[in-house]
Formats: sequence, C-alpha cells, structure tokens
Amino acid sequence: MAEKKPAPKLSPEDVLFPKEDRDRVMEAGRQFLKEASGDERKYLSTIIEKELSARGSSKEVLKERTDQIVEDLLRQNGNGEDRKLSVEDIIRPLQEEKILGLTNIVPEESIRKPSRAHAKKRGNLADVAPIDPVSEIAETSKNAADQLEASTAPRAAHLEQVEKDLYPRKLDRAVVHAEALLGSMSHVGAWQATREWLAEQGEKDIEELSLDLAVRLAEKRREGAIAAGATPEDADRKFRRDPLLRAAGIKLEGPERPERENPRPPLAVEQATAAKEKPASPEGGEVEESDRLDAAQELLSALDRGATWDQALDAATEQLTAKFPSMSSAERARLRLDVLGTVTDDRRPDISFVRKVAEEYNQALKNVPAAPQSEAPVKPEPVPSVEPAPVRAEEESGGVYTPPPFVDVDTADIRMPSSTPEAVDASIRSKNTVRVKDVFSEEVSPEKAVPLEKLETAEKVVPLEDTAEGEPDRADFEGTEEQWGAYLEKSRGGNTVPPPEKKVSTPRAKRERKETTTKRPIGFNFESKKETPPGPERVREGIAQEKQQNEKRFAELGYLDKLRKIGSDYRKIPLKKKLGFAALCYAAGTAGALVGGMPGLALIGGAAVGRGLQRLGSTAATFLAVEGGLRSAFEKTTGGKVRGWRDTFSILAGGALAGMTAMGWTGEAVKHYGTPLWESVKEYFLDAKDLATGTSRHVVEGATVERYEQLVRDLEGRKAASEAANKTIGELHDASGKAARGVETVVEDAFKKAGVQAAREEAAQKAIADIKAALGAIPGKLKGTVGGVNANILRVSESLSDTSGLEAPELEYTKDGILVPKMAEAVLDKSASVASTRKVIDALVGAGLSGRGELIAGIEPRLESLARELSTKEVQEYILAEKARIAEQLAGMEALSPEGQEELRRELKYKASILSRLAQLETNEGSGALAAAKKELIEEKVQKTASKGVKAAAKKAVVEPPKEPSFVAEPWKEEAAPEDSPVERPDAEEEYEEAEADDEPAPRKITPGERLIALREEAERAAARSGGADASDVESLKAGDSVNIDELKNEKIGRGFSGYPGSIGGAWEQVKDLDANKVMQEGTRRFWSPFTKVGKAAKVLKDVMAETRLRPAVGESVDQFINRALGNR
Amino acid sequence: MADQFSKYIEFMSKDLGLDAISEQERNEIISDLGQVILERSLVVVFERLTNDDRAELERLSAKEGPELMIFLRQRIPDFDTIVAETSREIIAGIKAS
Repeated sequence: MAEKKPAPKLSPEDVLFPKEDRDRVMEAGRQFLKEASGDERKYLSTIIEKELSARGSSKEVLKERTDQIVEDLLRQNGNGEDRKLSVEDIIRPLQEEKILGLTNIVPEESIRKPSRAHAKKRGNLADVAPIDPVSEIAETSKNAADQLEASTAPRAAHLEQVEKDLYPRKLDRAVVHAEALLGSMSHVGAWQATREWLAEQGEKDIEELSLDLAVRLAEKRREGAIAAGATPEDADRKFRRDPLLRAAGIKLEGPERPERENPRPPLAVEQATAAKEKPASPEGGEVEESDRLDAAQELLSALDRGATWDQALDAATEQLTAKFPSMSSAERARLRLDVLGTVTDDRRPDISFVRKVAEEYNQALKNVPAAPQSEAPVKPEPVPSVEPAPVRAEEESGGVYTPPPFVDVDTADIRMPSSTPEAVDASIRSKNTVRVKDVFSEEVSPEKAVPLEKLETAEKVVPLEDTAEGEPDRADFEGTEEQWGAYLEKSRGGNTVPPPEKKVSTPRAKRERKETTTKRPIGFNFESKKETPPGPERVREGIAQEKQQNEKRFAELGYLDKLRKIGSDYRKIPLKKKLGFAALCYAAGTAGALVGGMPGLALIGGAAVGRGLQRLGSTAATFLAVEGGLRSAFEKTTGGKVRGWRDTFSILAGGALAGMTAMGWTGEAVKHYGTPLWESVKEYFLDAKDLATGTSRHVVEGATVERYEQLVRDLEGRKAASEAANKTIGELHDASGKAARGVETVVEDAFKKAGVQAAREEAAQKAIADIKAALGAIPGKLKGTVGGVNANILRVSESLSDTSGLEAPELEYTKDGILVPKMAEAVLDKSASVASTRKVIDALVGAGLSGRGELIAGIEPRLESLARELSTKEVQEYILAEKARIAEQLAGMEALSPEGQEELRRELKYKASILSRLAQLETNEGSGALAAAKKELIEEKVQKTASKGVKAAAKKAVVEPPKEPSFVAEPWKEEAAPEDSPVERPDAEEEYEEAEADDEPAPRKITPGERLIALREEAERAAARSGGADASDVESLKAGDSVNIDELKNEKIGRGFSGYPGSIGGAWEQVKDLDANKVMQEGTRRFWSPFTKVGKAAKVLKDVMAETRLRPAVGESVDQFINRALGNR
Repeated sequence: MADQFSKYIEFMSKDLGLDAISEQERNEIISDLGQVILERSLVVVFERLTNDDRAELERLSAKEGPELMIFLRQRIPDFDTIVAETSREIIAGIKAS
C-alpha cells in the first residue's frame, strides 16, 4: 500500500506574496537589522525588554509581530529594496496594537545621523555629507566621543525616563508575585522567592525593588493587623520589628516593645552564650542578612570563576572580614557556615566540606574564653537551627541577628542563617531545604525532606557527645558503602560525626525507609504525595457531593426534573453497560497522561458519552474503547508490559474508532481529529492486515482483535480478506489522495496562471470532480468502514477552503458512512447562477435522501440565502426548469422498477418541497416580480392545457388555488409504500407542509376530489347563471363522474403510504374511531403534533372541514365525520 | 472480553480502593460514578445550550440513534473534551476528598 504524503497547503498569502518574494523581503529585513547602527538596535531591544519585563508580555508574540511589521513595511516599499526602517516604524504599530505601551519614542530625526563609516557599510552615503578622505580619520577620532554622546544622549535620557516610569509597575508586579506566594510560604519566604524571581527575570533594580517590596509587604501586614483589631501602636511596633524588614536590612527607628514588667531571668546557658557572643557585633556595624547574602553571592561568583568551594568560601569570608574587621573567629566561623547555607543555587558543597566548616565553628566556639562575669563554665548545648532560640535572641536584641551559639552539624539547617521562624518555614516550604544529613546521603527519600511537622516532632536532636556511645548501625545509615566506610572511620576516630539517620530511627521512620524505593537526587524537596486509594467511603462521599452539586446546578438552570429523569433513565440501564460506561469515563479521566493528552481523552470521551447518552446502546463499541484506554492505564499502573506511546495511541484510537464506526461516527471522528487520527487508523488497519496474515507486529488483544475479526468476517476468509483489504484500501487511498493532491496542484497552478477568482472556480470544479471520482472508486463492501477515505476527503475539503478563502464546505455522511461535501457547490460559488442553484438543490435533495434527519436543519437558511442572492428571474427560471424536469421524470416513471418508482417519488416529493419553499421565500423577499411571472406562467400553462368543461374547472383549480394547493403532482399518494420508508424528518415535513400551503402553480394531475369540487362549483355557477340551482344537474354530474367516496377518503387519509408527510397510512385503523372533536383538539396542541398519528388525523379532519364546510358533531368519530362530510358533498 | 473487562474493573477498584468491599457494593459505586459523570457533563452542556436546543436535546434523548450525539457535537464543538475533563475533575475530586 502506497503511503501518500500530503502536499503542503497553499494559502492565499502564498499566492499574493509568494514565498520566494517573502524570503527575499525577510532577508532584506534581516539585513537591515544586521546593518542597523548599534545604538539603534540597542535602543530598540532595551525598550522592548523593559516593556516585556514590566508587562509580562510574551516575547514570542512580540517577536512574531515585529517580524510581520518589518515584513509589511518592507513589502510596502518595493519589496524591501531601498527601504529604510526606523525604530519608530516598528515601535508605533506595536504601540497601536497595545503590544508595547510606551508613548514616547525619541524620533529618528532628533538623532544624529550615523557616521560616515557606518553609512558606507550600509551602502547609503546620501545621508552623510562627503568628507575628505584624509580628514575623515582625523574627524572621526577627534569627534568620536562627541558623536557618541550626541547620538545617544536623547535616547539615554529617554531610557532613564522609561526606567522611572516603569519602576512602579515593576514593583506592583513584584508585590503581586510575592502575595501569590503568601498562601504557601511566609512573608520572608515570599520576599526571598520574589527576589530570586526578579533575578531570574534579569531585573537590574533588584536591590531597590527588594527594599520597596519588603516595605510594601510589611505595610500590608500592618494594615492587616489593624484591620484584625490591633491598635495602631501595636501594629506600628510590630511593623518596626517585622522580620521582613530585618531580612531586607531595614532598621526603623522608634520604640520597640515595652519592657517586661517581670523579665524572665536569663538561663545559665544564655548567660554563657551571651558572654561568649559578646563580640557578635563587630566593629563596622552588625552583620545583617544583606551582608550574608552579599557574601553568598560572592561565593557563587567565585565558584563561577572556577574556584573550589573552599576557595569560594574564603573569598566570601574575606569580603565579610573586610567589612567587619573586628569579627571574632567564632563569629567568622559561624558566618562562614551561614554563608554556605545561604547559597540558593542548585550547587551543593561536598558533605565533608560542610562538616569541616561546621566543625571549625564548633571548635572556634570552644576556644572562646568564658566571660569574666560567668559564674561557672557552662557547657554549651547545641541548638538546632529550627529551634526558636535565635528568634528570641533577635527579639531580645532589638531585631538584630544574633547567631546561635552552637550548631549541630547533622541537623542544622544550613540554608537558614536568619533562622527566624518565617525563614525556616519559607525555606522548608520552598523545597530548597537541604539539611546536612540529607546532603550526606546522595539519595534521599522524599519523606525525609518534606514536612516541617516531622522535623519538629519526629526528630530528636542527639548532642554531639552522645554519638560516642556504641557502634553505629549500618541499617540506620542510608549512604553508599563508601560513605558508610568514611563515616565509620570518622566515627571511630573521635566520634565527631554522628550517624545521620540515628536521630530519625523511630520505628515508623525505619519502616518508611524500608518501604521507600524511590530515590531522588539531592537538592530538591520533593512533593512526594504517595497517592493512596480513597477507599469506598471517600468515593461514596465524593459521589454524593458531586450529585448534590449536580442537583444544585440543574436546579439553578431550572432543569432539576430533567436531571432526575436522566438519573432515572440511567438507573434502568443494565448494570453491565453502566459499568462499561463508568470504566470508559474513568479511562478518559485517568489515561490522559498515558496516551499523550487530549486527543486520547477526547476520543474516549466522545465514545463514552456517545454511549452514555444513547443509553449505552450496544456494549461492543464501548468495550472496544475501554479496551484501549483502560488497557493502557492498567498496564502502566500494574507494571505490565508498557507500550510505546505510538502503539498505545494506535490501539486506543483504533478502539475508539471502532466504537465510533460501529455507531456511524467514523467520519465524524476523522473530521474532528484529522491527520493524527488518520495515522492511527492506518496503523489500526495495518495491524488488522498483519494479524490476518499472521505477521502481526503488535500484540493486539481483546476487543480490538475481536473488532478486527469482525471486519475480516465481513469478507471471505482471513487471507482473502487481507489481500482484498490491502488492495482495496490502497485503491481508496490512491483515489482520495489523488483527489487531495489534485486539488492542491490545480489550485497552485491556477493561482499562478490566473487571478484568484478564476483559480478559485477552477479549483472548486476540480475538487468536486475529484471528490466524486474518489467516491466512485469506493467499493461498496468497504463503505462505512474506511476512515482513510473520509480523511482524504476531509483534507480535500479543508484544502479547498484554505485555497479559496471561503467557508469550509460542511461535510455530511452518505448512508454508507462516507463523507461528502455538503452544499459544496453552494459554498464554492455564492454568486450562484441557475446552474449552480440546481446543484444546490440537488445537494439538498441528496442530503434529504440520505435519510438523515439532522441534515435537513440547515436547509432553510441556505434557501433563504439563495433567495436573497439570486435574482427573481433566476429563481423563476430555475423553478420553471425544475418543474419541467419533474414533469419529464414523472412521465418516465412508469418505465422504472417499483423500487425505482418509489425512490423517484421520494426525490420528487422532497425536491418539490424545497422548490416550493424557495419560491415562497423569493416571493416574500423579492419585489413581487416572481409572483407576476408565476401568474403569467400559470396563465400560459392553463391556456395550453385547458379545454372546456372539466379542463376549465381544472384551470380554476389552479388559478384559484384550492384549499389544499399542491405544488406538484403527488403520484406517490396513489400507491402503497413501505411502512418504514423515509425516516421521519420533522423539518422536511414542515417544509413540505409549507409547500402544500403554498400557492405554487405547476403542471399537475387533477385529483378525483378536486375534479369533484370543480364539477360541483361549475354546476353551481351554471345553475346560478341560469337563475337557480338545478339539483338534477348536480346529481347527474355526480353520477356521471362516478366519484367514489372511498376513493376520496383514501386520498385524504393517504392510506397505505405512511411515508408521505401528513398522511396517516397504516395508522388509520387506530385513529378512525377516535372522537373527531378531541382529535382536533389534541392534534393541534403542540408543535410536534403534525408528526403524531392524532395530529395527522386532525389534519385530515381539518382539510375535510375546509372543503366541505362541515364540522364534526359531538361524539362523532373521525371515520363517521369524514364519511358524512364527503358523502354530503 | 469478559476477562479483559474484569481486569479493567479490577484496575478501577484498585485505583479507588474498592477491593475490600463486596462486588455488589463495588458495582453500585462504579455505577453511581458513571451517573455523576454523565450528569455533570450534561450540566456543562445545558449551560451552553439555548432553550430551543435544550428542548431538542430532551426530544432526541429518547431516541436510540446517533442523532443526539451529532446534535451535541454540532452545538458543542468541544463536547468530547468536556466529558473527558469532567471525568478527570470528578476522579481527581474524589481522590482529593
């Protein structure tokens, strides 16, 4: 089977502005940008970047639009040759389209012209005054600085102004960003994260923005406190002590909180610490957060320069030492540790290095001499960073950071130098926390890194000294063997390093560790929500909640009763089908990630709801789709064989497609999902073919196989089926692919050779011809099962639309399930001539005859459109011509087989209704010329056909329309037809009824009833002329014509032909004995009544009443009344 | 087919934690789940239909043929997606409850 690669589509743009020209123009544009002066480019890019930064606009949008603008500008002026663009040329359209918002652009004219050298480079020396070659160098060198300043000063000033203008917007964006984070982290955390975000955005004013941001957030918190009931004084005090301001390095003057009346006496350890930490405020000021951040930045910079961690930390320390020369060794050691922890980069130091720094600090702390006022040496206790002690220290010291006295190297949060609760919280929540013990293990289980609660509750800090007891347990150690060896050695050699996991070796932690198999790289805190099944109770609760919500929403819509009815209907469905539906929806809701996204979901969903709403019809299709979706999910989840994406999708699509095919939706699916699905369909059939020949490439199991086998059974034997399918599908693809390619080729050629209109028409004709050829090539056996044909036809249709620039032709299905362009001709040629009008009607008739009621809905507006667009004369001509055709067809009908006659009747009937409606619309909308033309036509026809006597009566029957005028003869009334012939089509029937009511002349047979009426009226008039009615004349007329009442009645009720809209047909026996008055009452009550048996009976009664001017008596049955009325005429 | 189908139901049961209950209870729950998905989808659809379309929907819902599906797809171009999204939301909601 030859695989056809679709030819690229051409757009009108391709024709109007061919690609080679466009490439040339774009090249010219690129050249311009390339050769633009540096300051021009810089100016433009700076403004754009700033705008984007401030507005959060998409760079892609801007870039794309800018390209278009450049292209347009160049094209407007000789395809880019000799075109000079300025910054304003580009900026202004962007401003007008609100892509950029700046209002002030420094005009090009105010900028000094480019240097001669530059102009020469651009090949445009006209703008530059000729300069003596000798003096050029001198002038250039002499005035270079002046030139630069002169050319850039206005723009530099402007940029400065832009910066100022944009600053509030930047700050607003930062505030919005920070506030968005507040839901998941503290103020300090949000502030810090926003700083990082600003840095990622490339913001240069980061420091200034950070300060303002901190103040803004703190002010908002203050306002919030006041709103919550705090006094302004308290709020002010809290504001001044706001950790956020401290983190930002802002110190506010003013009273701190009032002194306690009974201050808590300091603890011994605090006294010792205070004594040791006396020099914590070194000369040069107090070490603040910003200092540590600066140092951390320096550390990163050093790393960037290629320094080792040791060297980088030394550089950072050096920076701090320069600023705080009197810093003690203990403080310096602590700050080194803090700086290490402040690093927010993904880079992580080696654990041994962290330990080394931590031990340096511990050692330095031990070396600090006890303060003289200390009563006794107090053994310092390690304080984990997550403990609130540092916060207390800060608060007590008036908001100045005081480092904790001792650090536990295994539990310390090395990322949190400020150690405020907010900062700790922020760090942990921001998933950037790395604790020493985590770093120690190369891989860390997610459970250990997540919750703050676990840190606070599950971890009990073991003092360093305690680790000397006993040998560490390998089971408690999660590192590699190498790390374990290193650890053990250190541990034996002085017990300076405690086993990291010993502190969390609670039974639960152990159990979790054993259960945990997921290993993740360090450096991230993972969202490790292990999904546990909700269980029956939760599922029930969830369903109950959903039900309540559904009821609420339906109640809001006023459709609660309908919802309950739907629920009631659903409950009546067999359990098996309900389970299938639910499973299918479940697949749609869970398998999306497995099948690559929405196409799969949509496919499954389509089939699912189709089945659901159709009361889950046959189970096969449902299961087929379930097969695809759930199978994927199942295999993926249960660790079974995992298919490749393509295979999974193929099977899924194949299953869903099979389901849709079974329901006649194949083409619909192709229409919706286009080429990707087509590929899958192809795969599906390939699978089928291979399976048939025993060379299956994919293991296709279950329903998919069954579906395939079902297809194969439709042909004769597997082998033969495979060959036949291969051959036939190949032919189909060739034919439809040829059609598609043909259209594209024709369109392409035609556009090149002729104008757009001519090409469009040519393309349209070619497309129609090709589509028909493709359709003609489809063997009957495979109709309705070959999505590929439909896909190609769809492609033709879309291509046609693309190339013609017209609305895409709607597609419809034939009864064989093949897509055909609906109203294709009408779409292609709106300035319809009579010939094209005929095609339109043909298309409509074809649609109507396809037996799909839903297709009829679109006819009315199309007819209206035609009536508006066509001239009265055209409509008139067309109608007359069609009538002649109908007459011819009727004349030749007898030669047809009974089936052919039936089909022709249906066609003519339907065409008649359409013509009638068209004429009516034309009369209503037009100038009345049609009515006049019609009258002339009628007169002409009548003159030709009328004769004296009965013929004169017939003339009156036509010229003076009877109560039930008929547009065209209705031979189908005279013969019985199958009970189930046409599908009931409300719209068609309405139209037909309108046609019946229409006053449309046509060559026609005179029915017996009309003949009788005409005779009667003629006789009455004759009697009147002769001075009075002569009953004998009438009676003789009656007798002479031998009018049979039964014949008249059958004519009225349309017995035996239920397909005729309005006729009762076989239902007559059921309605004839009903009360005539009640039938009239019930049969006209609702708009759909005409389609019911009672409604049809009411219509018959109404007609008879109108003809005979009689009414049913009380209690008279339908049959009795009709007999009486017709018998009395 | 029956075996495959049982597997799928089994999978769904496992995913929702319905293994421990009786088959009858499980089927009841799954059936109810299908119902709420169907209803929720229709809520969305109803909200987007005109009154005339709603009446038409009601009329067509009594039919067994594909008219209803075609009608819905004509009126709601992203109908398939709605169902898939609805299923996803409901399942996620249940799991998160």
